[in-house]
Amino acid sequence: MSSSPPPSSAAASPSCPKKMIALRSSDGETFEIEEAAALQSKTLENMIDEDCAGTPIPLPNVTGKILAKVVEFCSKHAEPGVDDESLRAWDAEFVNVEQATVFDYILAANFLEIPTLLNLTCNVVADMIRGKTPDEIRKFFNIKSIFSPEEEEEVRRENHWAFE
Amino acid sequence: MDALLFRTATAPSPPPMANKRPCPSSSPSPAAALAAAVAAAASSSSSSSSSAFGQIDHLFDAFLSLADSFPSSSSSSSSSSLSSSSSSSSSSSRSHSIDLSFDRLLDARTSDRDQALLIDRALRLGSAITEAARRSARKRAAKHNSVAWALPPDLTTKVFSMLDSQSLCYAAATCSLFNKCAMDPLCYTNIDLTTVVPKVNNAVVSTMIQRAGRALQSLKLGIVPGPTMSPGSSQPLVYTIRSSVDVSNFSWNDKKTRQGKESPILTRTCLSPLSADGSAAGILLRRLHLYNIERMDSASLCTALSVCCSLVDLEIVGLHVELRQLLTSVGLNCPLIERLFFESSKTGRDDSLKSPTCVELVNRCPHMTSLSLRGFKLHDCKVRTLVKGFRKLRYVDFSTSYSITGNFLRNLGSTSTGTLLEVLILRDCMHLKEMEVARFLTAVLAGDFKCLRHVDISNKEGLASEGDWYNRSYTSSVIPFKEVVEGRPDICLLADFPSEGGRFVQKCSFPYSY
Repeated sequence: MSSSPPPSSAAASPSCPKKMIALRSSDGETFEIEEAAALQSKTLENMIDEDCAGTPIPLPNVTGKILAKVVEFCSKHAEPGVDDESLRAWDAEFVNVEQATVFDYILAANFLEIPTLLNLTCNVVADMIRGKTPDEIRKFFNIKSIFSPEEEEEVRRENHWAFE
Repeated sequence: MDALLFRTATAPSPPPMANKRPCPSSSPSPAAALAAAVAAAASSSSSSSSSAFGQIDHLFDAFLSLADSFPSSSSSSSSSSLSSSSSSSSSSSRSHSIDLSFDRLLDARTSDRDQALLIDRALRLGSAITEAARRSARKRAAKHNSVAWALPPDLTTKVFSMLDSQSLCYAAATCSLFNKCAMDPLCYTNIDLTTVVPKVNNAVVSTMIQRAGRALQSLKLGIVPGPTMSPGSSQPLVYTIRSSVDVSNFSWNDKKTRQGKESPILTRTCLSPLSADGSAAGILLRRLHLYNIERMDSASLCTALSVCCSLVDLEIVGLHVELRQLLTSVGLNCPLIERLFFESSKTGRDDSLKSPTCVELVNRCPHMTSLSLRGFKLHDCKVRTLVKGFRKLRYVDFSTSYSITGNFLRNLGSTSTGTLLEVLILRDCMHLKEMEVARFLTAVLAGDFKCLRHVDISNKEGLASEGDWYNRSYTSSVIPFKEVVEGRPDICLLADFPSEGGRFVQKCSFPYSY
């Protein structure tokens, strides 16, 4: 592969091949990501524009474990020539992780403003909720009701048609 | 609740007076604990400012330990457990059972007024304790939940906006954070109240539209048999409720607390919220899909359409409305419309379409890209007006139409519409002629209809012969099926004629959504 030009503040056009951006996670790990992939994140896009002369961009809200996966996601989605169906299959595999990790992905995608990842992961959680009764939802996510019996009755009454 | 009181009673107290006050759990009886607490409280009054607990707190703490002598606070088992405890427990706990103690206090008051006062105090204190405990339980649960559910409210709302309306209602009943997020207007951008059986009424529609506020974009309403099918499928979506018995089975009727006369199902005015408040909601609506609403009629539907000036996508299936009136209303009120999908509730009997209506429609709705008219009586000349007139038309579906012969396709290939047309579906058109299909496919083979990629002329009964439409046939000697497949490999051609023993289907991915 062609050697990448040193990340400088000179006009960094996306067509410049294989320009790498360095990211640092909250726990000090450093990751490299191609510029084209990084541009999927609006947050990173803004930071790249302002450019910091090649120092790793600190991301205090994202741990190394999650950042590694986010980099993987963005790189895959920046790959040219991948057809829709196989990308969808890849996405499905990507989110086939435990619930807590999906939440981490959502928070990271929100912080980094990656709409594709955010929609994908929010949809996963929506799928977890869809079709479940309130009790099942509580059990699944280990949530407590908080409602008093009267309040719960009130809520059910407001949406009574759904509970028929 | 009981466990909570128990824990409070047994928690070691922090203040310096702790060593003077015995831990209730180790005391021989609650009475001794109470006495000790009173003594401790009395002696600590001088140094109460330095302790975290005041005099009252000590008293209260010891008092709460009395809950231990009360077997169970749950109403379901209270009466039975009381009787069992009073018979099987030791005499000391019996004498400290709360209700017996209360009785003794009551008996000690001689005057009626004093007794009433005592009862009143007990009630007030009891409810104050209940409230305090409930509030704390709620706070603790909220704290627990904020760990279990890691998403902040705005992301929770985003997740909820991807849910159908029924799941949304279930989520709302889960906990108060979910309830709050589920009420956010963003969750009601796409209201989908389609159900398999009737259980939605006008009030529900009104509530949902109200919750959507300025975020409203799409409304789907009515009865859809089974999971929602894509409009590209050939199965008719018309579904009739055979009798009103189906409707009255639902225990809906029990919950009519407000207006006693409120109908349990959608009536003709179910869309009136769109017109309310200066049509605030109607103006926002971009997509409206209505299925099998028995009581809807042309007048009320046209009234609703009259306020939907931003409508882009309109799908009407199985409603008792006249095609001509519907198209007139759309032409008058929905200039931005891009997709029309109408399926008749009385297959083949709606012959209302007139030429002037077609002319008006093509003039007023230049953005039309997708047109589906299924189950109506359509004449070729009128269809031709429509298909030729919509300059951006890409998707056409006239399945299950009567009268249409296919004549409208003649010389269409090189017109502006013909050039743009991508999908042509003429499934189960009884009068579709074999000759016209042959002519059409010959034109396609010659290079007309450049953008065409999907054609469906399948028919359960085969195609109509040239002379009498009652004679059915399909012959590949006349219709160049194979040639089209070879000459125009970009086209997916479906020609399924089961009764004729003929089947010519080229594999392609279907359905595709438009």
